[in-house]
Amino acid sequence: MTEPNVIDKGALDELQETTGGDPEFLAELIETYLDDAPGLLATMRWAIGAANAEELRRAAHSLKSNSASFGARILATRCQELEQQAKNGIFDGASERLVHVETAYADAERALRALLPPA
Amino acid sequence: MKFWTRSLMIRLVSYFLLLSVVTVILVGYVAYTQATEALKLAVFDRLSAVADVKQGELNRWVDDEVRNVVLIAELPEVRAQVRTMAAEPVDSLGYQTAHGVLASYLSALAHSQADLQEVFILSNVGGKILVSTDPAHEGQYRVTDRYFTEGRSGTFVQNVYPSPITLAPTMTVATPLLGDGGQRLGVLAVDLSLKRMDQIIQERVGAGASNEAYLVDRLNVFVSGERFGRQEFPRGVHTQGIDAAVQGNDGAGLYTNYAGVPVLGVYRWLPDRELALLIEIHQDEAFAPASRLALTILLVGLASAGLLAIGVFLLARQIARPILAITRTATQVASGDLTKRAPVLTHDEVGVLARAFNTMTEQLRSLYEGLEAKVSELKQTEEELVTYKNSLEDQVVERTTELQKAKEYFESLVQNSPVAIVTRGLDGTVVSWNPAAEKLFGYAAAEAVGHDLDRLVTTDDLNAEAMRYSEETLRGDRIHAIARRFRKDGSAVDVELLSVPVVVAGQPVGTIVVYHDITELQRAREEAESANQAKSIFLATMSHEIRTPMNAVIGMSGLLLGTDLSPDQREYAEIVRSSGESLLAIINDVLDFSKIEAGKMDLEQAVLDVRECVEGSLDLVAIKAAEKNLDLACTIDDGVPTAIIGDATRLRQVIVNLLNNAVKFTEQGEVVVSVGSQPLGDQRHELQFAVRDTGIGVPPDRLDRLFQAFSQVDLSTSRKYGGTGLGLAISRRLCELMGGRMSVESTPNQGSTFAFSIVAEAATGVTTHVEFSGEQPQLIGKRLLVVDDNATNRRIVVQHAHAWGMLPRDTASSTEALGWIQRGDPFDIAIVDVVMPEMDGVALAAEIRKHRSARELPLVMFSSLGRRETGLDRIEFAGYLSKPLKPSNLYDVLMNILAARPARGRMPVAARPALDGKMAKRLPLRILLAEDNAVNQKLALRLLGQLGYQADVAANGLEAIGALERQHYDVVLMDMQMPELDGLDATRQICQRWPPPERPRIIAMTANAMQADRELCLAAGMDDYISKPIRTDELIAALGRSPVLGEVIT
Repeated sequence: MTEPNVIDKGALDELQETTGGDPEFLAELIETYLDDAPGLLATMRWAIGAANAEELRRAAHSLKSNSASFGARILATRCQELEQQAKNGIFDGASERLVHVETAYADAERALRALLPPA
Repeated sequence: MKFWTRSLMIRLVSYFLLLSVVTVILVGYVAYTQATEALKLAVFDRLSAVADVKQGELNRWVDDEVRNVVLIAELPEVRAQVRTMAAEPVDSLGYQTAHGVLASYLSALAHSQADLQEVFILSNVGGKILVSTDPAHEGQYRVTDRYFTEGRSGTFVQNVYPSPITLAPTMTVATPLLGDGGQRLGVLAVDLSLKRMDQIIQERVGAGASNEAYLVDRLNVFVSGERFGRQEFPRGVHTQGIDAAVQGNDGAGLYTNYAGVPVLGVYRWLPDRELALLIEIHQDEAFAPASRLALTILLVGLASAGLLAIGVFLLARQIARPILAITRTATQVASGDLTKRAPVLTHDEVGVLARAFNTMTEQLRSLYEGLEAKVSELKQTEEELVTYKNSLEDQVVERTTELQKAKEYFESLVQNSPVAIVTRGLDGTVVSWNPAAEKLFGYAAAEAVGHDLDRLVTTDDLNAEAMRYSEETLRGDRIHAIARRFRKDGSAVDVELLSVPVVVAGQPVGTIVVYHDITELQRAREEAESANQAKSIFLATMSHEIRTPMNAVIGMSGLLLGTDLSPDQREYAEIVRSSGESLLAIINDVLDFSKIEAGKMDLEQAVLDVRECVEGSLDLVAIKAAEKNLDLACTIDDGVPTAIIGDATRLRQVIVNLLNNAVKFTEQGEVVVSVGSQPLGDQRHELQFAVRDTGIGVPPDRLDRLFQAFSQVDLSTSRKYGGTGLGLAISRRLCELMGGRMSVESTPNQGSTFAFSIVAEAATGVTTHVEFSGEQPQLIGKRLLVVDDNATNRRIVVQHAHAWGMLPRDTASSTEALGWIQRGDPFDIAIVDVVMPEMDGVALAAEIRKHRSARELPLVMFSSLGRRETGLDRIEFAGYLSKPLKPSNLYDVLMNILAARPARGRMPVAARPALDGKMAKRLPLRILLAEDNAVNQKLALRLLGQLGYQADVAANGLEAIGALERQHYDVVLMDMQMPELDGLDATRQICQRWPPPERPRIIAMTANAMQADRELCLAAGMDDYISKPIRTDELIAALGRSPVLGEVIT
């Protein structure tokens, strides 16, 4: 059961077509994404703590574009805000934002996992 | 004469007159001559005729007389008597009787005929006058007279001869008296009256008063001499005519007559009579007609000439008048009046002349005017100069007196000055040394003057510097320095010295040095400097020292919160974190404030993007605003420059401060940031920011205290709302540092508007993001439905949509929107606010879906960040927008949704080009993929694999360059965001290291659809770009554009 509101079906479809409609490859991609994401989230957390704007920005950017590829639009948007903030070197409220990002990621992860073939 | 040469008219008329007169005279003369000739001939003819007539008459008379005489002689009585007389003796009676009879008979005859002057009979023998009508003559013998001698034999006429008796001219006719037997008895003689002859001649000579006819005998004596007076011509009268005639010629001619009068005369010799007949007429009279003719001609001619002359005169005048008019005008012009114009009186050559003259005059006039203007300018300048010169002279006098006073004044100044003043000559020796110098250096004037200054007040090691100063001064430089000098007693004194060359009349004559004892000041300065330095160190250290642990506290508590915690632990950790953040905020404020107060606040001067700054600030309060259900929005006027030179951090600080306050003090409604700008010329702008909220407002009596440090509106607010009270004070000072002001307007319970301005230069040539100006091709004509209860948000969305060429319709009411949908109004896309009073966005979306499917009408959710929306399960939203709305986001969402769906009704999934697995064979490119993101890497490799390419991978820019060093690639797919060395820098390095033929084609993979970013890529040296996420068609197209460079031997 997917949560269509969390994942934009259209984007997923596009992704499928781009990759030649191979469900195995899609699954592989999703796996890769789900593997990468927590690391990115951790980086972001650390970066906020260390006030390292560059790392925060890059991590947020990566997570954003990946999430967008999979249609996790809400997550992507929230990542973008964090990225923007980091670009401007502002850390006020960054931790709060990160919490929202993590929440969104949790939703997205659930939705994507649901698309994987039962392993 | 001069008069004559100067007047054309006079000359013309004169010449004409002359000519006419000459002509007339000529004509008259010729006529006269001709007429005279003619007349002459006529007169000659006439006179000849008359002469003929007279000749005839004369002869006829003579003949008549002859006949008479003959008759008488033949009269028997006469004869008888004569016989008697002849026969009888003289004294006989018979004789006497015969004599008496004859005498009376003869006298009766003489009386009856006046022509007979004397009739007498002569005896045959001896010629004795027997009888005569003049008895005195009886008895005289005329035996020698020719008439007698000839008359005895026959009738004989003795033409005019002088009578031997009387000596008067006489003409006698004699005839013999014959007896019956024919014997000569005697001779009858008759003296003819010459008077009668003269009369005959004179009669009917012809008309003409001066006509004269007369006879002249062969001795040039007038026949009727009494007429002419014999005495006058003692030797006879000689005239041309008379002489000629007397010589026997007949003729005619013009000569002077006996009276000296020029006459026309016809002369004739009458041989029968042995007389010259002359008929003369005065020339005057004869030629009178000719004269008259000539005179008439002359008169008429002259009169005509006169008339003609008048005519010519008039004509000439007519010609001359316009010329004269021109002349007059010329004279007037010559005498200075350039406005006069010659009258153009005719259309002929003179008229042309007049016009030409006028043209010339006009040109002269304008030329002259121009010159006059120049001249008056010059005059004016001259006058000004004179005035100025005068005033200068006055000034000079003034100055001189002033100078004198000044001199005295300055001399006393120097003497009384508390500051040491030393003057030196060109050689460096002291010339003057004022009392203050004595005091400062301890040398009396007498000790100092004449010595070298540097030797006096410096030691050896300072000498060099001092000498350098001296030299420089002499060269013309001013020295202002701080140095150490020594007194007479050897003690040191810190001085501020001013050394200045003294120049008189362009020549340096020495220097003047002024010393100011600054020992005290030096000390004070050093102290202040070290105090200042301490302050800076304090601030810098404190800044760092304080923040570090604070960041650690915050960061760690954040990390802590990321772990598994029990609810209590979580709560405590939250408190730690939020307290830490608050404390950090306070510390930041305090430090900022001190910095500003210490004047150590430096503002950056860098390019900052206005929109990013504002939107970034909004981001920071977005969550809080969302929690309080406040709408956030921002509007930026068109005139505001995209980028300015300034300090982004500080500007954001100010905006965030205001926003925080606004959000803090607003319970419902909205917070809107607006930005406007006023150009100040020369690229500078005054940017005007305003943060308007619908909050609790500020009471008017507290407004002025707002910006004071450490003041809150009242203590209750500080307790309720927290805050250091420094925020506004800092913000205001930051504004002032940025060249602007801050102010506030507020109505309690309605809201406040905090406005501030800054002055900054627009950054030219920088577009950090595209302006979305103008219509966007993919959006033109698309119909947008906006449903949001917040008017500001609606306005912003609609404004942008309009600008991009869309057709937006907006409403605050979900019901109204539904109404439109149900009515069937067409829409291509709808933006729906989630939080709305009547019907929230989710519910509205559900309702809409009953009428339009997701494909027909894609929906975009517009929500506040940080909210977890519930009930979204069944609704498919095509896009998400969060507040505060950023145009870039709106643009992206619209483009994503609408550009990918070309038209309503069509299947949105565009046909994709079939993946051509043989592409790599056709176009064997060596490809390097530079991408750090694992997912993207896999995706890209997969795509390339499907096209038949085996690409190599580099995880960042450095690895990519390393790979290029190792081997040649045709194409590098370069991700923009990479660690170590990002895409742009890597590209720049590649372009530097490898020249075009060896360089691979670099294709950027960028997530930014902005034109400006693409331009950035191209500027860095990229050859092409494709967007991320990677689309197959774009990749194929980009690869297709890449040439196969082949192996390049390096």
